[in-house]
Amino acid sequence: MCGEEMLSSRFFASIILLIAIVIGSILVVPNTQVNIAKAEQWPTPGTRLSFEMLSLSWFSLSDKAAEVVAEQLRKVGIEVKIVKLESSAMYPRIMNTFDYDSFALAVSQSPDPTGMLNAFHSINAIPGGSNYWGYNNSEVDKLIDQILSSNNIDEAKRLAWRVQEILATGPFIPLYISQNTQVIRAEWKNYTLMPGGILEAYNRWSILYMYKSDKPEENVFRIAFSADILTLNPFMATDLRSIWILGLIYEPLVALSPDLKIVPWLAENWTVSPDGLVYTFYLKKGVKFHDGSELTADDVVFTYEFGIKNKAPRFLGTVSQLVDKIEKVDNYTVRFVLKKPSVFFLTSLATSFQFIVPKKIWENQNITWSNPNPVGSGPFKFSSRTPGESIVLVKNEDYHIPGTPKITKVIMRVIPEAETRYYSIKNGDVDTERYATSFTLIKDAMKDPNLKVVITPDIWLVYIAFNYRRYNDTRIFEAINYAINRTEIIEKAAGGYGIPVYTVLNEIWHKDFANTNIKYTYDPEKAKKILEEAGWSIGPDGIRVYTGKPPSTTPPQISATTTTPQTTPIPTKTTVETTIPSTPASPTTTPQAGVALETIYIAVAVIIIIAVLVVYIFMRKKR
Amino acid sequence: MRFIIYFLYKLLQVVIVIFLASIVSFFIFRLLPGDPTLSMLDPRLDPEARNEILRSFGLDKPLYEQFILYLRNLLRGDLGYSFSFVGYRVVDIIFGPRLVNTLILMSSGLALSAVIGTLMGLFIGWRAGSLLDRILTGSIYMFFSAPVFWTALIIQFYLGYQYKLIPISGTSSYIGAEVDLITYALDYARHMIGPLLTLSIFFVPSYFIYIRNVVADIRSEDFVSTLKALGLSEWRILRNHIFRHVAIHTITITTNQSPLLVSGAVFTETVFGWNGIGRLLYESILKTDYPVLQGIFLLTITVVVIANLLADVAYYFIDPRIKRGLR
Repeated sequence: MCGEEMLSSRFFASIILLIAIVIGSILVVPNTQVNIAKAEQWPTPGTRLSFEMLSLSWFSLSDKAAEVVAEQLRKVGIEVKIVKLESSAMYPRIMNTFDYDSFALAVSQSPDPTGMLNAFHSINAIPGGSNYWGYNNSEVDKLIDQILSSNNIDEAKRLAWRVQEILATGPFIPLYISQNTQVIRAEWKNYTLMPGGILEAYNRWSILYMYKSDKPEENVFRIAFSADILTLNPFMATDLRSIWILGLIYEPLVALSPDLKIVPWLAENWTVSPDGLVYTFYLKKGVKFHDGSELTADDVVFTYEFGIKNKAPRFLGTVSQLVDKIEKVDNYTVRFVLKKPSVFFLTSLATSFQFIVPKKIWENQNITWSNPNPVGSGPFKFSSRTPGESIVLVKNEDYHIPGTPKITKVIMRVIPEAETRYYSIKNGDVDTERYATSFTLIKDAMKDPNLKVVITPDIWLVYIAFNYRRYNDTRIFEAINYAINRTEIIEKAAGGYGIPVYTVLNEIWHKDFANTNIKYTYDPEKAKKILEEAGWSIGPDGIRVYTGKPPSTTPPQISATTTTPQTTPIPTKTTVETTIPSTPASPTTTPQAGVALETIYIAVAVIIIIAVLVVYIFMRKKR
Repeated sequence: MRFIIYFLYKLLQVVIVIFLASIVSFFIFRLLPGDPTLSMLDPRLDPEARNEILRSFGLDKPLYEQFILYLRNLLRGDLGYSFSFVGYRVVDIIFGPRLVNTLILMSSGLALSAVIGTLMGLFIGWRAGSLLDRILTGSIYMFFSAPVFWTALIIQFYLGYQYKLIPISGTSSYIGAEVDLITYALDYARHMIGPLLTLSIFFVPSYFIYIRNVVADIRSEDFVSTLKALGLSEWRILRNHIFRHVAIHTITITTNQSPLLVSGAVFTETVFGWNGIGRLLYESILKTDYPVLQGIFLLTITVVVIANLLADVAYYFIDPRIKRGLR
């Protein structure tokens, strides 16, 4: 064994191997090329009515729903092939590359309908935008613009109802809102029921009034989280776990009541100018931060200016788009001047978790992610944190709502495994967990006298969506709406804990904005009829095949609600008119080409690595 | 003098390997599919916020620029900031309570398994072919092949929940309370029982099977027959003669498992909520937390390489063939 020889051969081989890995990585990693498939001429005669449906494998609410939908659609002759993926593989396909036929997922709900509406505006049909389905309808765009800049709530409602009528046959098909099944130790009393659950971040009430004993020292509330929170920085918090903890330490200007109305919080009351452009907030007096200083208009103005100036994630969106300037009128009065009126401005303030911070502490800081010692005005003070393990908060004795909070200490513990969390509650190690307990464990919890199951509507709207860039025939979406049995889906995917939803907005979260006239009853016969009329007839294997004429010459739609200009979909190239090609052009050729290219990259990388290994082994033999 | 050259040569190898590993670690984790921002976003958040976050992590830059930045920071001993424990430096996350928790759990787990496995192997190997041997050797394969996740859940359910003998999860029951050191240590040890038992069920068989076979072979060698003929008791033969042959194997197996000392046991730590490096590794992969993954990878490589360096140095003194080989 001679050292030098060993050094040279091994060293040489390692270098080559290294280069190969680097080249291979560079070839494979920057795969950011965007592949947008277009619904050029779909369908052509002979096309099978078959969709690939992406499903998030770990999210059982939508994953199970996808399976049931596939079963139900099969009965009317629509084939759905389910592809189960992890989030990191699925999200880029639906958000950035648009390389999918359809998918099943859930979207979180809030009382502010802006997010749901914007998801159908064509300006958001871009990579990274919220219009994942690529919906494109100029009438809907116009209506959404009108709703979002309206100054009259009744007019906004009327327009919202109209949008929902059009979207009722859109590529986004809502299925159900799940129910939150919160398991909590039975000795806890006096929590507040609210959509989202007793411990949702919107619910500021439960944690103030909950107690289990008349002796203050016994009121220690222990809650299990599935993972640690992301940050204690109120500007940067992007996950709901952080926001829940931060909501105990910090407070917003306005909040939501249990029935989702806007109620005063740090702002005692407010006035709105007739043109809807000036909002004046009168702050509550005598509110103290945890360091003893008083919360004044300076802190409010500073918080909003700091957040908007630094593009902090919590301050992007509605607020940064609407607010023109923020002024201090006197020590307890703040004026927000808007660029355009919006009936959702207060709702946005109440739902975007913009927490007021003390100017004194933050003014000399650059915005970073860390905030090791948070000081707010909320009912609890920060005490300690062990990252990955626990957070401890203690009662704020000087809290501005007298007699609250009743809890003296909040202990958050990280318990990663779902069953472990449940048995820890059963054993009394913790009192409850942050999110709903899986419905498979609820039966057991119902039998346990030490536990209570609190059921409220949850934040998740489970839906399926189709790629409108590929499939823009609204009759198919209408048929699917009739062919799916939402009650059966809820029974099988959520153990019966769910509320069927038929429209983009829903009564639970959006109240009057939800169009209650739209309701699909389960009617497979009607679905079959619609598909027949659209030119799809049953093929030899029970799956429908397109035999009809091209869409431009088909008779007008049968549904009264589908008055949308369906024949003006995506602006395609002029070559579209050059008749239907005799060779069946598959709509998925573009993405397939993309996949093939990627495969070549990987293959090249693998070949290089194998070649290097062969050289390496050969050199060793020679020695 | 010769030793110094030998040592310096080995040290050079260590430095080269660690340097190469640091380069590889940058790329292999970026081969994972996914986007670190996707796991951390609240769906209610404005899409613009995502781009802001990407920018704050430097992920909007081209890959080669990220690589240069990474190398430059690494030379200064800076592994960067975590993506999933936002605002925390990677070194603080890895070299904190997590590493201590994992070191304590894994070292006691491996030590316990080595002792039990070796002793069992000695005595059962001596009786190879007996009914006891056949029952144990057969059944121990079952333990060996049982999924760790499942074993951990069973232990947790029966010992933790059903009979309340051990705490269900975590490392301490005194979160947010002031306790003295002895109470804390006892409580910590109680929390360690479950994970330790799980690890033993997994590691004991690997020692046992190996040692049993070694002992079964040695048993029929001439020197053993001689010792028997001299009238030595079974215990003395095992302790004074066979154990020496066996100990080297125990050390080899333990050395092979030494990376686990710092990389931890993913499943055991996850089920028992043990705040260690194994769980951190698993969560970091789920959250595509490149900086933390790079840190764990480098730490593990460094430990392995240094362990090998120490072994090489030890061989130099123990094994005369190495001295001769250098001539």
